[in-house]
Amino acid sequence: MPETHPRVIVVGGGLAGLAACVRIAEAGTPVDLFSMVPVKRSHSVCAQGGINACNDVARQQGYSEWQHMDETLIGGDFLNHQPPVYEMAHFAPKIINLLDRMGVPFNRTSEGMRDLRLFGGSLFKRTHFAGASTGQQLLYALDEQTRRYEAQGKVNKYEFWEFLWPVTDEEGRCKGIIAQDMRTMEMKAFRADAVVMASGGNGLIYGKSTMSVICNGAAAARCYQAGADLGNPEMIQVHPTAIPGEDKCRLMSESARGEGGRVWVPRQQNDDRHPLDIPEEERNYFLEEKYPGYGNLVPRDIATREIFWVCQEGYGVGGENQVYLDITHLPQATKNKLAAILEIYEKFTGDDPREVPMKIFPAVHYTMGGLYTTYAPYDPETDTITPASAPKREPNQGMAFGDPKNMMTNVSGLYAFGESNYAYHGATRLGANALLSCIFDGLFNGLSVANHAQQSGAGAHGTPAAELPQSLYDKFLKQEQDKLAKITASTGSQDPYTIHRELGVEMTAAATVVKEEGRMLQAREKLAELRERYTDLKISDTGHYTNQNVSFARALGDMLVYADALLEASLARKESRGSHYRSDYPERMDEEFHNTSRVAFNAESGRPDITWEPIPSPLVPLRARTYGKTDVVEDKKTQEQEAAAS
Amino acid sequence: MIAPNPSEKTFLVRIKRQDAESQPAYWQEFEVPVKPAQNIISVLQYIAANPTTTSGEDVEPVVWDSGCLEEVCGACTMVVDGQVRQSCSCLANEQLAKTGKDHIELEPMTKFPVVRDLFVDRQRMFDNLKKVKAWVPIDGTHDLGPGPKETPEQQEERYAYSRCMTCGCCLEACPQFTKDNTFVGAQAIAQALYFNQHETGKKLKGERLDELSGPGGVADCGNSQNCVKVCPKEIPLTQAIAKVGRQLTVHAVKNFFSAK
Amino acid sequence: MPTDRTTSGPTATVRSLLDDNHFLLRRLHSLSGIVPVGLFVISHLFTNAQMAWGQDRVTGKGDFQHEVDFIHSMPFLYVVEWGLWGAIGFHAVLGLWYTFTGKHNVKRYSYADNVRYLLQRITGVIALVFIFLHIATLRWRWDLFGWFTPFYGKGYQNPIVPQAFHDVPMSLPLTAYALQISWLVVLLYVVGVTASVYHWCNGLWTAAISWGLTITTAGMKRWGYVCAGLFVALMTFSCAAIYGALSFDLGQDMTDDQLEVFELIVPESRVPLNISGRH
Repeated sequence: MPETHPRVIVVGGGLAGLAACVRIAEAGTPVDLFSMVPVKRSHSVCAQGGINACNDVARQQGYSEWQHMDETLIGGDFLNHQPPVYEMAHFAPKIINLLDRMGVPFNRTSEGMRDLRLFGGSLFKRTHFAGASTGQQLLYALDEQTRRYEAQGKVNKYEFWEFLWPVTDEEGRCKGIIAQDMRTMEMKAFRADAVVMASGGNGLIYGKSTMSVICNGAAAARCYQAGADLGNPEMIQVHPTAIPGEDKCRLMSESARGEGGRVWVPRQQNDDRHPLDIPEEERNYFLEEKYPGYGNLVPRDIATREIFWVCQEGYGVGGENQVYLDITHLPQATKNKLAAILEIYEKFTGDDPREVPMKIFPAVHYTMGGLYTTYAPYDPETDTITPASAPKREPNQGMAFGDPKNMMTNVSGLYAFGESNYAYHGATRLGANALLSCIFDGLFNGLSVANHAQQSGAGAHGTPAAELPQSLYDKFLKQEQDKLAKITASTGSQDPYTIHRELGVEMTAAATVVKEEGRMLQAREKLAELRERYTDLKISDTGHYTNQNVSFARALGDMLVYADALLEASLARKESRGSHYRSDYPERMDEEFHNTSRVAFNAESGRPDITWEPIPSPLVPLRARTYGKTDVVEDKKTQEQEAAAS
Repeated sequence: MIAPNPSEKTFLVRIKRQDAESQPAYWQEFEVPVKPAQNIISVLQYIAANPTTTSGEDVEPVVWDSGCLEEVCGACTMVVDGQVRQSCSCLANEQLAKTGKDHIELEPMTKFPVVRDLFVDRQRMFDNLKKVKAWVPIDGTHDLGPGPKETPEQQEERYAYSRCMTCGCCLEACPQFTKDNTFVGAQAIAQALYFNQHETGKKLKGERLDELSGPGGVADCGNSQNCVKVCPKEIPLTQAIAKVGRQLTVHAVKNFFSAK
Repeated sequence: MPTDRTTSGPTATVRSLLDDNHFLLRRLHSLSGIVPVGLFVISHLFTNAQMAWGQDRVTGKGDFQHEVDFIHSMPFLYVVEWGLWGAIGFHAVLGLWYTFTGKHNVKRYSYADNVRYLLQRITGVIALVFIFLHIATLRWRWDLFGWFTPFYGKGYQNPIVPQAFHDVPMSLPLTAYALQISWLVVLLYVVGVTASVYHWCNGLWTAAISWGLTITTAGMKRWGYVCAGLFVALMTFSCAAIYGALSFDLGQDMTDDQLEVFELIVPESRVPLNISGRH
């Protein structure tokens, strides 16, 4: 590979990574794209629902980009930064148009317009979708455009390559990466003038989640250990209804409950009768009992917690973490309507949900926290983009387009995009905002990366990567080679898969749906124990070719580090906010905690250092997260139901 | 490490292993405890954590490829009991019931070079996408308004093709697609059609058809129609082949009379 | 992965010639199978089917003979014949080559369509061998180790037949003899004809996909019924022909003139002629 200047490396080939590739290559900067899997197999394919953007129909009904921003902020319980969210909401319609031009088969109206659907957190139809696999369609569209640039030689793909470490120069600027071919095990240093981490979420820390097997968070954890801080790592989204599997948890759409599905557990613990043999009076419809008004349709977080609690008390089906979601009583017509999701259940469990109640449990679904990033707020004084004829925005309305600071971590030249970036979703992510934030990062902030790379070597940005001494890269290469050699040579007694399973079980129990100090302190002990055991690994594959065993063991070490940061931030945030629910601190406490938990890795102790960074609210003042309008509607419904019952 | 509990019901898994493409293949057998709703991936995960064969030999864990485990990423394609499929959606107990045997046989796909064990290199499929210019030639990422309108029927047809996850089942089952020929197979042909059907994608239709009329193109299809039967996404692959066949016929006649 | 292309030499020239005209060759292969060969085979089978009606006891004439006479009266018959040979040869050479570019897998994927894919290739080879033997023994009148069953439409076509018998119709007796000579030949004809008819009908079905005629699953299915119907019809013709050839009693059903010519042409008949009781 000829070393040209400037050059950019993108780590991760999901929506964020590919969007970044396309934008950076378009800006004329060659890109080296690294991915552990062929990029077309990235986890983005799993997103089903859709992508949010204000549109003409919604606009004529009173919706606006501003409201989209507002929904995102209140959804995130104001833990997100307002200027980036403003920019994202306002940029969203352009993204949809672009994807449309790229050929994404968005569902259509009879007139041939893009169809829209209603999604959580909004009263307006603002979600664009392509069948039941929107993420897959969007990823493929960006994959195709990337391939186009690849065919032109502007993008180089390194698929089946694992990111190991960011290379930083003397001044701490990111100047490349160390990566390893997972097939030949060849390890190499790559030079770059900017590096974009688009490495996704970290569900694997929880053992089983709804995420792909590649979402282990190791790449972000490695950057964290190399000096990039984490932001709000305690913010993890849990989906209330997933199908627990031996290998992973798969989503079960909420429409099953929407159409009349009932959630229950046997009244008797460890009742091993067939569910249909358990008479009505011996079933505990716990949601309906506790919330007679809303019943099975209580808000997501309540459903999640109740299911969690009932299992914690030992009433889970078969003594395990699962409850029944029963649609067997529904009329055939309704079952037909739910066919698509019922088939998924049948395919992966072998049971027909039309005949036997489904077994479901909440599962970790999305990582809102991630690498801490910065941005340059919009400033009309420095705005050179808006045409002279158009009115300029107010300060802080968005970000300064193309400013190299946008979504850069605290390590100069190291960027974080997509799910690995903490910026957009605060304490909870709204449905159908994930695809948006990923593509937005790539397309809007891609230019910032290209600009940074262009400026690299000029003044404050140090020497161009192509001119840095080889010894710098060799140093980091050796560090990684030594690390790998140490793991490969370990002859201890601890199986990495067992440690991983225990890590998952512990994290799921202590730091998902309900967090509580005592339990988390216990988990802290457990993590310390696992870290200790990790130093005594047993490696069953000592080969030097496509050694997945060693790769996994190495990533496990990074998962343990990330889990530690996640747990410590969960302990430190003594309030409840969004998806972070502390049973011992059930209120949101803005005075103390309307702050980003910024977590830095302490290289000496090997433990996290947490500082609290205030979040400015230049656009929308804080308010309670009540979903006012929705509640009115639902209150009315409750009253009607109560009236009907009496 | 964790020996199967003698009271537990178990079944056998025979795995065709290969240390690298250049190395000879060999079979190993493992005993795995029966669990409800256990897919092939869980079986492989169990073996990874307990890599001991039935003859008591401790071996290197089996290498395989997987991703989403929801049948959308296309990574975990394997040959299970002689038939190609996604291993994540293959439940062990159903498979045993289907074959009536006491064991499951896992092999890597035979049409692609083996990287190791069950892990194969499907780069050829991605290269073929490049060959048929499987993209819409947009003018760039600037805000240039919406894309072309299309009817719900057009969308529905294109959506079917756009679900192709490059898993390779169609190629594995195709008698015309072999390791040493150049046939592009159903996957690339269907993708060419997908883009030929898009208003802007059409701009490259001629180039795509030129590519597909050359060696390895559509004409190499032998109409065994296996592709459509093994496609996990039920993509109408044979219809795609026929439609591209029609486009090629028209293209050839047009070229004969009007090409320079 | 792609096959190595040798960079020089005559092989390379042929290779690149084939590659450059890949699509054309494939389509010509399809066309050559359907139009010249296929249409000829249809008319041939149709003609032969008339054997079932036998012949006039006195004149030796019949529908079959009439058709044969018509064919032999066609102008440029040799051109047509060589044209057919060219088409068959072209179709066969490319077909064989294409067959070996694939690798059948019916054992693993025993779908009906896949079985037909394999059958198409097997029947192609059988048909080729059959057609060769059929032509060699009847048209070229080769004597293959005693398997000697020459065909002449009328007496004049064989120089050893005296002038007086030049007009004697010989189509049916000689065809009947060709089949009756051995049950192995009957078997060859049953297998060969079935293979050829199958190959043509199935080829017609797949060609509709290749050319883009049937572009929906339903269309393919409908066209499949048409092709299956054609198969049944052609097989009926073939059965009629074989029945006609086998039911013709060489000893009793020939006219006296035919018997004389027959004995001239086939001096050592392998089929015992029971002439006792001839009128």
